[in-house]
Formats: sequence, structure tokens, C-alpha cells
Amino acid sequence: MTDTRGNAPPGQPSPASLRLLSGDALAAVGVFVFGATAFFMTSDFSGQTRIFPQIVSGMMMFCAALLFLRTLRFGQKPQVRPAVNKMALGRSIAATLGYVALIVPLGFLAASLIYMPLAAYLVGVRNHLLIWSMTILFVGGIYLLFTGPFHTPIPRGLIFQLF
Amino acid sequence: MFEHIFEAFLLVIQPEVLLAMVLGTVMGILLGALPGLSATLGIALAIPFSYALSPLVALALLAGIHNGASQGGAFPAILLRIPGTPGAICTSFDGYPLAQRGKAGGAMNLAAMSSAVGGTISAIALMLLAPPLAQVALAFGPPEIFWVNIFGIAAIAALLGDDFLKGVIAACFGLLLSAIGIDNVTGQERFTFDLMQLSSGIPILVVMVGVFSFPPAWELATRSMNQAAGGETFKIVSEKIWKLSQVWRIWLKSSFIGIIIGILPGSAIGSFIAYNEARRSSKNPDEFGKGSIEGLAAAESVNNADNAAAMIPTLTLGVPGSAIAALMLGALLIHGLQPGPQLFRDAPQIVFGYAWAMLITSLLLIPLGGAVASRLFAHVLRIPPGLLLPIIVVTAVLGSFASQNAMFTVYLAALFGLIGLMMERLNFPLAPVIIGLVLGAKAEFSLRISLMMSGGDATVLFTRPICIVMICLTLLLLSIPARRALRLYWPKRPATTTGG
Repeated sequence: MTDTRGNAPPGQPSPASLRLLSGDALAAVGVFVFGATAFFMTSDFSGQTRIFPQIVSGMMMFCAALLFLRTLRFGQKPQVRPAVNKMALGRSIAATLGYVALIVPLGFLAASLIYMPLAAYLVGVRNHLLIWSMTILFVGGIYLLFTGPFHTPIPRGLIFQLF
Repeated sequence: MFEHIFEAFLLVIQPEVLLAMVLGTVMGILLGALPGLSATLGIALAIPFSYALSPLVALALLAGIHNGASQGGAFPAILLRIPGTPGAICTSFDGYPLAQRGKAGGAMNLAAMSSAVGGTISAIALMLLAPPLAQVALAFGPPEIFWVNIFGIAAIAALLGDDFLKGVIAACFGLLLSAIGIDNVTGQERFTFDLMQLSSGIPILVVMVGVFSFPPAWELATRSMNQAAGGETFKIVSEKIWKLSQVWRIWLKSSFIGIIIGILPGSAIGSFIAYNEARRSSKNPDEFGKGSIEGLAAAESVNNADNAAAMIPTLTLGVPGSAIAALMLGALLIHGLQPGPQLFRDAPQIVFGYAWAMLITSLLLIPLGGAVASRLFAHVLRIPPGLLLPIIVVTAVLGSFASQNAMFTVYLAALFGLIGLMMERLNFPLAPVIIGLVLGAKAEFSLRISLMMSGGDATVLFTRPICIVMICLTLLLLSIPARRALRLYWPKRPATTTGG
């Protein structure tokens, strides 16, 4: 019997199963689960309160199912997005999350003075003068702007509050 | 109407408003000039900073960023053939060949002048067309408002982006986000996970900053890190390469196209339509793509002509037609102004002040975007993209913190940044999320009020004349991507030859 799903060499996934694992199929599953969770949660709401979220989550599940079926039937549309340097992307995200986590203990000023040069070095910038002058000017400027004309308190940091 | 226009003009020429317009235009040009950054990012980052400003000063700043960024995209398009913004793609077709012939300065002068003309005509259209439309919109009751909102969401989901299904999913995600928090009618908590910070809902600003600021910043890190877009030294000589008689018809026609396209929600093809029309009607169509003056004039005038026009449905109906219009709507809400027909009655000085700001910032493009200023702005092309990443992140973090003076909003913004990045990588459009979030609460409120008015009878939504018109328009709109999908996925079978 001929394998209608594709002629994959033994031991390797068939093109059909590869299609299933494509981004769109995974996204469709994720969206469906998200919509279903929201739909399930609406059961706790009273009559009128749940109408709108139920309609929306139901529509979301329906579209996710259509997206999944489309991927299964026609495969994924070719993406025109250029290849990504995943390491650089991961480093920049990690640095951002680290920065956000550091603001509470260190405060905005100290955390930014650490983060800005670190992020620039992490993504490969090597012009030391430019990095440090930009860091001091930008962080200093934005700090003065918020504490001065904007009268907006910015996080001081737990460590500095001890002194 | 005209007395309001005059009063607004007097407010707009106050020194602080003028300063905000100049600053905004310069910031916008810088943002647009840097490939990878956009007006959307600039406005998303600037809105939190505008908290401390009065509404008119804040709107003047944002108007400057909007117009400036649309024009700034011409710099890398002309000098490097890298469109700084999507709207500048057609600019590169003729701008770059002109620069190659040593006419970069002249090309930039023409680009600035064309942008200024397009933006000015568009701002005048906003002043003159918006008030009558607002008068019509005053007749709308809750069922009509519900369908207008559904039409706005459907338009963005259907027309913005390549994939209708993904657009609808993104819009649904935004609508669900709008349902988070205490229900206005019953007081019941929805999707708050017992977090006190979520009881007042998800702040629109935080989602805007998250999805529009973090992903482009992180994407910058994936490009050649240490290399600026323009490593070479640009020699820009100011010279006039065009005559008014050569371009004035093109300016008018392209501006008109830009206004029509701008008013229609979800349209992002104005520059291509105007460029093709200019080529079709030109006496020298063969010059297009090789350094045509008419081509460059068409591309740049249409580029700015849809800016103010896109605000017509936003201000009159409260339905944004683009991501930037949705951000502007969010900015108005943050300043306590509810876009819609009532805004023209309650705060006409704000509406017409904004229109004046769009007009004046368009005119500012002539001195700030021309060849003399270009020599200064061309230097920004030498900034390594890697250095822009921390600048954008720090600004976004502080902006999201300032929205409620709480770290919780920073965590939320970072979370939405990750969601936005994931959506972008999976080719889901981001604008429908914001539009769903902005319009969701209004759509739900109108739906429930309509049902309460009719004692639970849902036919009230389908029987009123304006509702029927809106339903027909929505269905017509949805048929466009449906037909596109049918053509894409069920192409016509090739005719089988018989006989032989």
C-alpha cells in the first residue's frame, strides 16, 4: 500500500507529521487551549456577565480549530521572515528580564546603569566610549526628567532604602 | 465649527504646544530614520511620558512623532535603499537612484516638501470632514455603537496582515483582555485570579508599550550588532531638482488617495496605489524606478496624507483604523477624553487643536526634514542597532512603571512583550490585539445596554436600519479575505484538454 502522507525515509518523520509540528499547528493548539480555558472559566460568572467572554472565547476556539484544519490540509504558508540569530535574541530577552527583576532590589538608577552597558556588550557593541557616554547621558537625563519636571517617583530600590 | 477651529488655533500657538510639536517632529524623524523603529514604537514609548503633560501638549507631541516618523523613513530609503518605515518602500524606488546620481540632497528636499503637502491637505480634511461625520454619529444608539465597534474590529482583523484567521484570533485575544477586571454592570470579578492589581482591568497603555516596544527592541539584537545601517559617509548637497509645475498635480492626486485610504480602516497600501497611479498617468512612465521626480513626489505625499485622515473615524466614531490610530485613541482615553461624537461637543478645542497640530507638524517637515537638516539626521544612521536595544527597553520599562507607579505594570509589560514577540514570530498581527482591547469594553457595554433596553430581545441588534447597514458592511468586509482565502487554498483547476 502506498503511503499517501508522503515518501519519508524509514525512521524519519513524514512530511505530513512535519506539517503537524509546524508553527501554525502548534499555535492553533495553544490558542484553542487558551480559548477553552477562558470559556471554562466563564462558567463561574453570572448570566449577563458571561455572555461576551463566552462569545469571544467560543469564536477564538472556532478560529483555532479552522487554523489547525487548514494547516493539516494545506500545510503552512511559506514564511518570508529572515532567519533569526536565536542566541542574540535569547540573550537580549534574558538581559531584559534580569533588568526588570533587578529594579526592585537595586532601584531604577543602579539597575539601568548596570543593564545598559551590559546589554550593549551582550549584543556585540564594542565602542566603549559610545556605550558609557550614552548610558550616563541617557539614564541621567531620564532620571532628572522624571524626578524634576514630571514629578513622578521612580523605584529607589530596597538596598538604598536601608540607608 | 469655525469659531472652534479659530479658538483651537489660538491654543495651539502657545509656546509649550509649539515646543512639543518641534520636539515631537524631531523625535519622529529620528525614529523613522532608524530602520527597525517606527512611528508605532515612538508613540507607544511617548504616551507614558505624556501623562505629566496637558492633553493638548501631549497630543501635539504625538502628532509631531506621527508626522515626523512618516517622513523620517525617507532618509534610509533614499540614502541606503532601506525603507525606514513600510510606507517608505515606494520612496526607495526612485529616491535611491537619485542619490546614486549625486542628487540625495535634492531628493530629500522633494521628499520633505511632498510629505509636508500631503500632511497639510490631510489635516485640513480632518478639520472639515470630521465634524459632519460626528453629527451623523450622534444619532447612533447602543445597538448601532455595538455594530460600529464590531465593524472596526472586523476591518482591522480582515484587512491588516496577511492572514484573516490569525487577525480574528488576535482581535479575540484583545477582546478577552478587555473583559479582565470588575464588570461595570454587575460588579463581579472576571479573570482576575484573585490579584487585586487586575481588578481595575489591564491598563491599555501597558499592553501597548509591551507589544509595540519590546519585540522590535529584541529583534534589533538579532541584526548585525556592531554595524550601523549606514557605515559610509553621506555627501548631501542641497539642490533643487524639481519644479512646482512638475509635481503639483501628483501632490494633489496622491494626497486625495492617501486621505481616502487613510479613512478606510485597516488599509496599508496607500503608497502603492498612489505610486501606480502616478506612473499610469505620467508622460514618462519608463523613468519610474530609475529616479523619477513624480514617483518620489507621489510616494512621499501619500505617505503623510493618510496620517490625519486615519484619525477621522477614530475621533468621530471611536473606531481606530490602524495601529497608530488605536494608540492615539488610547492616549485620548488616558487623558480622560472619550473619542466619539461627544468629543466634538465636550472638547472641540482638543479635536481641532489636534488637527492644527497635525497641520503645523506637517509644515515643520519642510525645515526639519529637508536637505540642510538631513546632514545632521543622516548621522543617526551610524548608531549601532545594539545600542538602541537598551535605550528602548529602559524607556519602555520606565514608561510602563509610570502608568500606575507600580512594578506590577512593568512585569505585565514584559509579559506582553514576550507574547507580542511570539505572535510576531508566528505571523499573528499585533494591531488587532490593541484594537480589541480598546473597543472590547465599549462593544460589550453597548451590547448589554441594547439587551437591557429591549428586555433581553436580541432582535434589536438586527432590525434597526443603521444596524442593518453596519451588518451588511461588516459582511462585505469579511468577504474580501474569504475570497482571498478561497483563491489561495482552492485555486482553479487547470482546464483539461480533451480530444487529440
